Amino acid sequence: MVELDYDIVIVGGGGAGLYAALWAAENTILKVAVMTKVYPTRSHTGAAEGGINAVLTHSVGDSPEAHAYDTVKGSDFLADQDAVDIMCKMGAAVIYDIAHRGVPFSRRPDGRIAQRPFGGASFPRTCYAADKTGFYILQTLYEQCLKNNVTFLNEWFLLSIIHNGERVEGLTAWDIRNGGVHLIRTKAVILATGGHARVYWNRTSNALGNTGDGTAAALRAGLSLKDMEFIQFHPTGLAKTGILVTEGARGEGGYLRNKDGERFMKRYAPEKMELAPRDIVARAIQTEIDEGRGCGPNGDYICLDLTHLGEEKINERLPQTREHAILYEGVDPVKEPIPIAPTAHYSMGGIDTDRLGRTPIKGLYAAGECACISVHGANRLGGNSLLDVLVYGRLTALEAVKYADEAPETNPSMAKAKDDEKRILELMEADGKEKLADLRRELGNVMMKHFGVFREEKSMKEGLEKLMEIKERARHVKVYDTSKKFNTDLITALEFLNLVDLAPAIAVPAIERKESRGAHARKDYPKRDDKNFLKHSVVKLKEDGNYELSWKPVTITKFPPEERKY
Amino acid sequence: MVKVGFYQGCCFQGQDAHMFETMKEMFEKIDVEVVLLEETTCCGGNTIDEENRKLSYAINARNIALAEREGLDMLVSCNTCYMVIAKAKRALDTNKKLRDEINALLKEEGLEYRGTSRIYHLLDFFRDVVGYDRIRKAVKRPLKGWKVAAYYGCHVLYPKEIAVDNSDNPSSLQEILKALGAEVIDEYEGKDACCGYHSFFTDKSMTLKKLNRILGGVKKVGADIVATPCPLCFKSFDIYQTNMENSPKVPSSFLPEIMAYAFGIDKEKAGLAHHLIKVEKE
Amino acid sequence: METAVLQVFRYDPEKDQTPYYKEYEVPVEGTLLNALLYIKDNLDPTLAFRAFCRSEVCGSCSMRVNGKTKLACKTPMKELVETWKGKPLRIDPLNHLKVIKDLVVDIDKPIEKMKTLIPWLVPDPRVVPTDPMHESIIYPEEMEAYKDQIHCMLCFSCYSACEAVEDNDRYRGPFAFSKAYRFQVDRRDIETAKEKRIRYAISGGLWSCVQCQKCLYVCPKGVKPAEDIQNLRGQAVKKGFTDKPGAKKLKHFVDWIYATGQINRLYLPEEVYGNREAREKLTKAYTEMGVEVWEVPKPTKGLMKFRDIYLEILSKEDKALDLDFSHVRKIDRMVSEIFKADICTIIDRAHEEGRSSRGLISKLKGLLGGK
Ligand SMILES: Cc1cc2nc3c(=O)[nH]c(=O)nc-3n(C[C@H](O)[C@H](O)[C@H](O)COP(=O)(O)OP(=O)(O)OC[C@H]3O[C@@H](n4cnc5c(N)ncnc54)[C@H](O)[C@@H]3O)c2cc1C
Ligand code: SF4
Ligand code: SF4
Ligand code: FES
Repeated sequence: MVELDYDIVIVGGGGAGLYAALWAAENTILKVAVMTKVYPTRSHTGAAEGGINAVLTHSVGDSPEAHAYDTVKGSDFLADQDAVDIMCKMGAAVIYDIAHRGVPFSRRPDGRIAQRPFGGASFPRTCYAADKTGFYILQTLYEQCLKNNVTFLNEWFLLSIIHNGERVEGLTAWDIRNGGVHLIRTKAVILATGGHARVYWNRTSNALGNTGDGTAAALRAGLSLKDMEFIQFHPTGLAKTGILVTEGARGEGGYLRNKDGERFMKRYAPEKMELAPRDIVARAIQTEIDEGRGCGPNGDYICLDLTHLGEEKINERLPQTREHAILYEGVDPVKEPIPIAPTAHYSMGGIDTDRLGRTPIKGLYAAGECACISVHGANRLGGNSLLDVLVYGRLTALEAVKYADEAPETNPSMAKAKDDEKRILELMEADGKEKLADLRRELGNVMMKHFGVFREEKSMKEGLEKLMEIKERARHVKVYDTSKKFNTDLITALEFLNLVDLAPAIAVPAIERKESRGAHARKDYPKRDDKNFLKHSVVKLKEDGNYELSWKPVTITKFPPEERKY
Repeated sequence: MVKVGFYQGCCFQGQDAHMFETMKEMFEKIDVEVVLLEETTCCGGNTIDEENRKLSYAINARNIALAEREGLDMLVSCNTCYMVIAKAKRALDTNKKLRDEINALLKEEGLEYRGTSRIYHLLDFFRDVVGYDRIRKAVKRPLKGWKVAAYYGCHVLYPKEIAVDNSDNPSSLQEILKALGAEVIDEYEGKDACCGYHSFFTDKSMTLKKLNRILGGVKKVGADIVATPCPLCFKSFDIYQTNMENSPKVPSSFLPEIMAYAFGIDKEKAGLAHHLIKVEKE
Repeated sequence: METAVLQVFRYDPEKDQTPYYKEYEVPVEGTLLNALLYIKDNLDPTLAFRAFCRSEVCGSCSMRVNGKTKLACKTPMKELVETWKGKPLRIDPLNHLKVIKDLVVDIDKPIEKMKTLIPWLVPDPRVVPTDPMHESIIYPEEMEAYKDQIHCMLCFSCYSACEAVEDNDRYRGPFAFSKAYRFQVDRRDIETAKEKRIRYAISGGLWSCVQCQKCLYVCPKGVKPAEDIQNLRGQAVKKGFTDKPGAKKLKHFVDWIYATGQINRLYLPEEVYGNREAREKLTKAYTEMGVEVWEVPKPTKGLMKFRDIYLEILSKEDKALDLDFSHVRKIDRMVSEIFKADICTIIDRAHEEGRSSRGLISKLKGLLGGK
């Protein structure tokens, strides 16, 4: 067992992790390392297409307050307004900073950064770089990290967080490339491991590895997770895989039709039709499917019809959509409508932190999608996540630098590493009565069925039982590959076990939040209930394996709750 | 009789001018009249692009316009010329601004690029216009017992936009060789490697390593000769091979040469007699 | 359901003496990545390969199918079956990279190579404000210059397919040059960094690229490394790095094509390497074979108009001075010397003489009373 020694370890090489690394590297001579299970440029930030919200100096008429208001309103008033305030005020600073570092933002004819309208925003404030905003940001941040000689632990897998109840002391991790559990000593840790929408294994827009590893490790280390019941569903995921079909497809004039060919949006949003906000469209589609008007032999999808746009327009405006539909759905949108259904897209909930990304454990921070600061509350606005990722990547880096500068040396014990080794050995020696791929599919189905777009008490309770059962059965999953080097069988199993740990953390607060708010839509409680539920849910994992739920007040400064109407 | 404009490039001029005569005669045997596009210039050979891409487009817009003026499609018998000209055509056909700008210049010479002529390379011309059948029928001296290794070269297969055959698993060359009666060998080490012609002047050792791989591979599978539809690959094989330290001395042929031979034209005239590495096979 | 057999490269350096291929029957449905995931989920969990986004943005899943580099999540199984017409599909890891296990290769080397070409923005303070709340103005037109290069997702497909990497270990790799070029044409990047990139590019094999175009073919993101390499070569020459043979070859092309419409293969070795012998040897060889040797290519009809077009484009691109007019005049003199007439007369007379290209020189010589 090799010991590694750093001052700050950033876990995650996505937008949040790399921006944190950059700001740490430029502001300290401490030893900083980025640990990531995939090479940084492969992180899921690269898949973000739409853009990043910020009020710039030339955004006439717009203001950080307006942005904050839209964000809070979008969050269905569950976001903490002090945090939202920080994020919105820093918007221009992070955009200019990354633009100066080379992000090729699309420009207006006068050479200034272009902005476009986005769902839920009262001004066009979404900065974009063609339709690959996240990709360009990720590549640019990586270039800048190379420039600053940032140390990378590429293809290392976080296993556990070590702390003494007061301060963080270190981490354990598996070196994917060479095999082996390692104990890493460090004064500060920033978790930036991304989201966990893969809990919905069979229908998600997320990468194969968005399995909430950091969130699960935090949960196991006794930390709290906040607002886990809130999962954003994107209305248009390809039916077979959940891979995203961009909002642009509807923006360019695509129609949503049910099995009768009806443009059903007229019954849900007669004015905006297909262009209504995401959650409304997602619910409309789900309702059609649930009420038996879905298409296909199983009636489990809806048709996104682009055929009337014609080949030329589709090729010119939606080339990626066409390519993906052909590749991943086997359907050419020029000739046939694309089968789509809502897909799990973004996790609003995550590791509970304060407005600066700090957890109750000193030296332990969380940023990006794995964190719940909370700036997104019950529903994230499109384009706010990348902003959150950058703002909090940077803030947590500065916090961590400040802390690590003065923090005492730590002395983590080997116990956790030994434990993890044992856990891995046990996996290899399990009886294999359960098959990983099957159980994982089952998990995905349970989540989608019982904790999907619409939720309801009875079904959720059933669902939770099934989840606990799956958790039990997961003990029988076996890792067949016993080799050390690049053991992807092991990694897949560890990821699956993280999902299994996280699923009940979503289910428990979902059952108890007896209201509909943002992405949490309950059939049995269709209204928002500020009197009883204008509060954050907080889940902890008890020693005995039970999930303990508590509640925490929402910080409200400027914007008192009001009805969310568009 | 099909009529087609013939682009000579640098390979059918100067000391190689005799090759055009052979080509002409060979084509007559398959009912094709090749009309020399005399006023064309060098395509820039991938190198003028280094100076300026637009210059390359302009030169080749002019070259194509010369074929269009005659109302003929253009047959290019060199892989590199084909790639450079086809790329220019693509750029001109998809970019109106570029086309207009260049046409304004061509006007002075009374030329205009309209995009009406198709650009053929030997392989797709033989496949799509002539047909393998007609080739088979023209054979007077079947290459019976010739083990011929098929070598495509790069610029007819890559990039995809201009490829004349399936880039991964092409078949036209094998079909043509089969039609000539040869025994075709298309699996050997180095069959996909670049011939190294273009690096001879910039990185000679690279060229020699590549020749070693390809010709070594050809030798290992026991082929009598390697045939290529590219005169530059052929030059690399025939001339640069003599620069190798342990030259495997593999004879090679530019495709039209063995076609001519199979069509009954004598070895001397077919060009096969002029190779530095002699083609012994009869 | 239609199925196909994949022969997958397997190698675990801890256990296996040598690599071997294992066969799996997979459904012909979706992409190659689907097939591999199918194997992993249903047939053999020990198979190692990389994949993450499954929608062609992360660059994890490149590999080879029957030797041809492919991005697994962008390659339909159907297409593979059709292309290879029943031949077995052999799945190999990327070429030119050390295998870690099965289809997983070590990509640190190409990343390290790329780093030597300064693949990041070095801001010019005159363009990029140091005040973080000030915006740097970039016009949309400027971004055209690097709109393709920024798509590179570091999948290393091009590195695997590259002919120059194959035979020159120092060669930085197609993508690395594209990455470097992206900053060469960014106005925000400082001149001193641009100069350095060129120098490092040259020592990193800039002139070794054989222009095989394979990088263009395999790139799943439409990056065109081969063309960026051409652009970088042009920049190198422009910046005064003219001593390399490649630079001299370029000069030969630029001058001779302008002067005669053709390059002069007879003079090429001499002008590139100062190798006079080559011309003599070649001349001798041809003469022995009874082939007439031409000292200069046949000047093209319409040459003077052609020169106008040529010069016009170069001037428009602010490159007219790249033409070495003293060299061109020398070529003109050579031509006149041989034909005893000025170049215009020669062109006209030659073409009056009929259309055959054969034996032009002797005809001209007779016509003009040359030596
Ligand atoms: C298809 C799609 C489109 C989107 N479009 C937009 C948009 O237009 N605008 C917007 O604002 N947001 C968008 N989002 C959301 C946004 O992209 C993400 O929320 C954001 O990129 C998350 O960034 P991150 O840095 O937190 O995590 P990620 O980018 O997911 O990075 C996580 C990192 O953690 C590492 N990691 C994970 N687990 C471990 C482990 N166990 N050990 C070591 N390392 C680990 C990974 O290797 C990775 O480097 C979109 C999301 C999707 C799925
Ligand atoms: S064109 Fe050059 S860079 Fe591209 S693959 Fe060929 S040798 Fe490599
Ligand atoms: S240039 Fe293309 S093929 Fe090469 S690494 Fe980049 S994306 Fe991959
Ligand atoms: S899995 Fe990301 S590119 Fe194929």
